[in-house]
Amino acid sequence: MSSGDLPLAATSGMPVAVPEIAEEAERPAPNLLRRLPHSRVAMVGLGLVLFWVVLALLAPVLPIARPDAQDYVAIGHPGSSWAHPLGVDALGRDMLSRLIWGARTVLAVAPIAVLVAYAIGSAMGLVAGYYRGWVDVVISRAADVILSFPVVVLYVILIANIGPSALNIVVAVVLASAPGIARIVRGLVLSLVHHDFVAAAQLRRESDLYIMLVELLPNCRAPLITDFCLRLGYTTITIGTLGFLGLGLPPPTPDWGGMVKQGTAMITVYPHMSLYPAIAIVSLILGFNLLADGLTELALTD
Amino acid sequence: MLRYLLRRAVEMLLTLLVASFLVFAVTEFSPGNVARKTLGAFALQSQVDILYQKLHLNDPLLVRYVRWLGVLTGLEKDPLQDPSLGLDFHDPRGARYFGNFGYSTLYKAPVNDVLWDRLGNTALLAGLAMLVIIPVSMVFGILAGMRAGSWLDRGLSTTSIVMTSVPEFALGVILVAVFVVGLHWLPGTSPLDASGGWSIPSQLVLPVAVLAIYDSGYVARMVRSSMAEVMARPYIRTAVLKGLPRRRVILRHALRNAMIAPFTVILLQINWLIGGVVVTELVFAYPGFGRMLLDASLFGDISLIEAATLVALFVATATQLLSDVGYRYLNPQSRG
Repeated sequence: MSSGDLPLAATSGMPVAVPEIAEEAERPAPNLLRRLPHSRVAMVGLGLVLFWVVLALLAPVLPIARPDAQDYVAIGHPGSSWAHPLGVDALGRDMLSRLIWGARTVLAVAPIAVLVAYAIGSAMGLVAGYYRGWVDVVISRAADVILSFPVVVLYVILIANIGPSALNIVVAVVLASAPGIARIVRGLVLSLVHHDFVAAAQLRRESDLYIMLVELLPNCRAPLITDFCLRLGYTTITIGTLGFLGLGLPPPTPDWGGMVKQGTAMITVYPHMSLYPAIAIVSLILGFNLLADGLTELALTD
Repeated sequence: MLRYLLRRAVEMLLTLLVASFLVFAVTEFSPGNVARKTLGAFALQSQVDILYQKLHLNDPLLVRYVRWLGVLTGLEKDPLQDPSLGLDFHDPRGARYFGNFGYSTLYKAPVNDVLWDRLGNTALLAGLAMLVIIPVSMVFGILAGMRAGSWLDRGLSTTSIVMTSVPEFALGVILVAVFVVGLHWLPGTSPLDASGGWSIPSQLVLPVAVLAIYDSGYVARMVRSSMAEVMARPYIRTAVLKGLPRRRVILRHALRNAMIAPFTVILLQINWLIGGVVVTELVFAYPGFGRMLLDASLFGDISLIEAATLVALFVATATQLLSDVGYRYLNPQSRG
């Protein structure tokens, strides 16, 4: 058998795959979240995320020092002790407390930013995919320009100029992620818009808004749930990276990326100051990514 | 094909134009202006005001943007080099030439003197990282995707997810804690200058590792899913059922089709690496493009930010074009 006939073999395989995909779209979107316990990977991910969510929620009632309280005596021996199980940072602030309060920061900013990005991105994608024409051209071209920026470059230029604050980080995340979400939703809408249920709704004289929000958007659910988890992980990386670059939340707000950065000054003597927050951020991102991976697996094996 | 390339080139040019205008507009939000940044924090306000007037900085945004375009294309002289300003800014290439990115207010040197050396250093870093990423992710992805669901697949896929869950800055700090502080095997900074006692290759190990580990995990996942998808196709089943050895089925039948999608992903990693170097270069004090961009942004050096953005965007859009053309060439279906 020569290798020359391979492309032919590959094309002959395709017509089988196409009806399968079409069939998939006819079926109602599987309720991914309800079947979550079937995936061990997803459950490990969920466990990691919940671990930090619970700690973050309980932060005010846990028996830990305030995140900005300084223990001047402990600065001399910043390693772990009974009073400070994970040690203190260079300013004598309790590491454990700052990690837990830092979880509150990232777990508030990341989901809000991603949710707002989803609201704006889905709206853009729905409008572009449903109306087509010049609206689609304008939205798609604008998305292309934003998406051609290397992401970190976009964030650095934006935040360095508009200033670091929780609101501006949300603005930057929305600006950088909404075009990508819009592109996904637009693609999904284009594949759905020829289906009978859309034509039926148009015959019933439903408004365009109703068709987009009630008929089309819920059918995009399955791929978007996975993408949402991935984006949460990615946004957590972004927020951490901005903190590390000195473009995160201004001090004294406990921010994991910023803590890693401050710790690097002492890394040759007391590596724990930057290692612990680095491990914390890795565990949360791992949680989001495992969750996304488990959900993808569930969606495929449906 | 020629018409397609021409259309894409025009689109690329438009993207660069729009993006450079956006960057110009965003820098409006930063405090201070070119006059203050040129003269420094200790200049009197009256001196700054005079320079502000002479540079016509109170013109509308669009006018100043068009003037900047004029300098870039060599139609106009760089206003900062005007000898009557008394700034003593000198570009050996002259005040008017094509590709004049102007004068960096941060480094007090022509942008073209600063930019290209840094870019060369970064290209070295990114190139070495690619040399690690491609074989590692291929081997991982092919082994995992070969038998989807096997223990080998589970193990390799989980490893890949862990690799993509460690942000570059966290990985940098962890590697420094282990190999620099703990084991004393490698240097913690990479100034590309052997006077500190560490050879230049030894300085490159950790930065390349940081860039490569994160990205290999990502590309490996792409290779795996493409491989798993191809292995499930009927023609592979046919090949197996007619008794071909497994090795032959994978190497000669599956790989060819499985590599089409990852090919584009791998090229697009160049775009990702441009961002990755910002963090990596900061961690290891590496004299590269990414750290220059960060410093320029923090300082508000508009000429340098614009030049760096244009270079980054050019690399990004050019690799995008290359991957699209390559995809059309590799995938007979998209040729129609």
